[in-house]
Amino acid sequence: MGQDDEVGKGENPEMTSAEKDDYQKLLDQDLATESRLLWSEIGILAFITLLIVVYLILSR
Amino acid sequence: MTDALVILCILFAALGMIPTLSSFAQFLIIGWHGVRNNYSVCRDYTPRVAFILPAWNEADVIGSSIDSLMSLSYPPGAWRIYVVDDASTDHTPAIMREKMAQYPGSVFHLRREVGGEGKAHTLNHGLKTILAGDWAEAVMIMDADVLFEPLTLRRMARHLADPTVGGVTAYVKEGSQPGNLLTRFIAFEYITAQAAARRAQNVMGVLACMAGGAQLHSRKNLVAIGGAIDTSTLAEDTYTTFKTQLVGHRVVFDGNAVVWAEEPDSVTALWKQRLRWARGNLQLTAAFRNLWFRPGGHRLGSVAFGILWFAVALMPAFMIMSSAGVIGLYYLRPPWAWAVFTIVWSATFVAYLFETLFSFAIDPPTGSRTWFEGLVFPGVISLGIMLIAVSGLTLFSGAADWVEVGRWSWRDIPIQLILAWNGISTIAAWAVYRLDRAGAPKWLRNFFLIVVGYGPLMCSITFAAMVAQYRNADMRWDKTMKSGKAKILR
Repeated sequence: MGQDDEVGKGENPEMTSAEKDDYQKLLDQDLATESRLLWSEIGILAFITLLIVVYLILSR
Repeated sequence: MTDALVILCILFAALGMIPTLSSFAQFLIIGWHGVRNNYSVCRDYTPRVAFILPAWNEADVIGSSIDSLMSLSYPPGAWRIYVVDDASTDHTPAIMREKMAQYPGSVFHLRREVGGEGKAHTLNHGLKTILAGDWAEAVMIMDADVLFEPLTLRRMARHLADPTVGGVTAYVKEGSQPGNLLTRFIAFEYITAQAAARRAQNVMGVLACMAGGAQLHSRKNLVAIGGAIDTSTLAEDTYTTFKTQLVGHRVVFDGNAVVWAEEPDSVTALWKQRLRWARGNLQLTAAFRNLWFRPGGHRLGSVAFGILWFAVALMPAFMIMSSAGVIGLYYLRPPWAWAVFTIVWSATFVAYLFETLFSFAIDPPTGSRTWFEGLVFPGVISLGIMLIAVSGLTLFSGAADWVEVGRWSWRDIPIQLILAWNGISTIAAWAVYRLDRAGAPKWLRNFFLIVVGYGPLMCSITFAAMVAQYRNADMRWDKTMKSGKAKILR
């Protein structure tokens, strides 16, 4: 390994389609994680809201 | 007069809620990162990257760090490792000779004959060499003990495809094996402080800190900030983050790019490390004093970011104000003290529940490893007080009737301890530190840490930093010693 002028110029022109697929898979995986976090948050907020409503009803 | 004092007490109690509310608000916007993130402008971009590893007596960890870096999944020939040896006195040079022979042309040893000036000076030695040549298109600033997952560099580099991005940081996970209670507390803390908070800051378009363990800069950005790291504060990573944003470049946190680090395994070592960080933040607060709360200019000057910043930098002041406010009300208007106490601690409980559950969901593997530490993060006493507030225990709610203004009773003591716990916990956490420093058995330290809480310990350290900064105490670079215990956990 050493200085190599073929890498580092942005998107590698010699990149194979398999490598591009790998990158797309990686991106899809990370986007799925971010999407999961959004739905987790909605679920947890809904759960806590429910707890608060039940608490308020019981404490009346 | 009394009415004015009552209003002042209520104001204090309200101001004391700022850290809780700002943290809660931050957590609320994390989900939005699923929609608003930097991935849409990413490409499979693989610039030539020079890694700088500052090393002072890192013989125990430097070899494994280099091995981990050499197994990255990245185009061959597109990364190099520069170890800047800060005049190590152990066998770091011997290991470097071995690694340079093992990875010829990829690993370089830059030796400083006179060292000990701190990380920023060491980094600058490396930056000077790297920027003098034209090979590097990007520079990764890291710590010598940090282990990169194979795809981390690729994940980070893709953001630099966007020319407006000047720096990218990764999610630093605590990876000590075997771990202990303290390292698991830190692992959970890093979910909240990094994986959670920094996603929220991505959404806000402004980042407080790129972790010093993994900062990827474009060459253009390093040149724009002067080609060197600021050496005037103890928080060189945060300073660099601010400078990057102030020269007009964006900084991005990629929570899916993960690196692993070994963190302190004793309260004393943690105290030393965090005191440096907290003092650095205070120095930075002063250095950028013309920036804060200036909306309309840079996002670092927005009100929202200012609140986030000061909620952390001045946390002990808020805790003391909270306690003073409620205690003041207890003497001035006892029933109101109960009402304010209930509101403050019930809100704290809701924030705790949401943030803890969401933190487990953000990083499930770490969450499953640290579920106990996550639950007792605020301390068992704080949890008990939250339950008292939420359940409205009659024993306590009737306490207002006990009070006769101007007359003291023994029954006041437990009530006041509970009311003022926000402030008292800071002192109690300091006592845990002193206990650890005095060489108390680990089980005893752990017991008190669980009872008092890890959160109050952080608050206590911030208070100590404020005192040290006020006294203009000696600004030593107390390096955290690493023993090579970190592993990449899957």
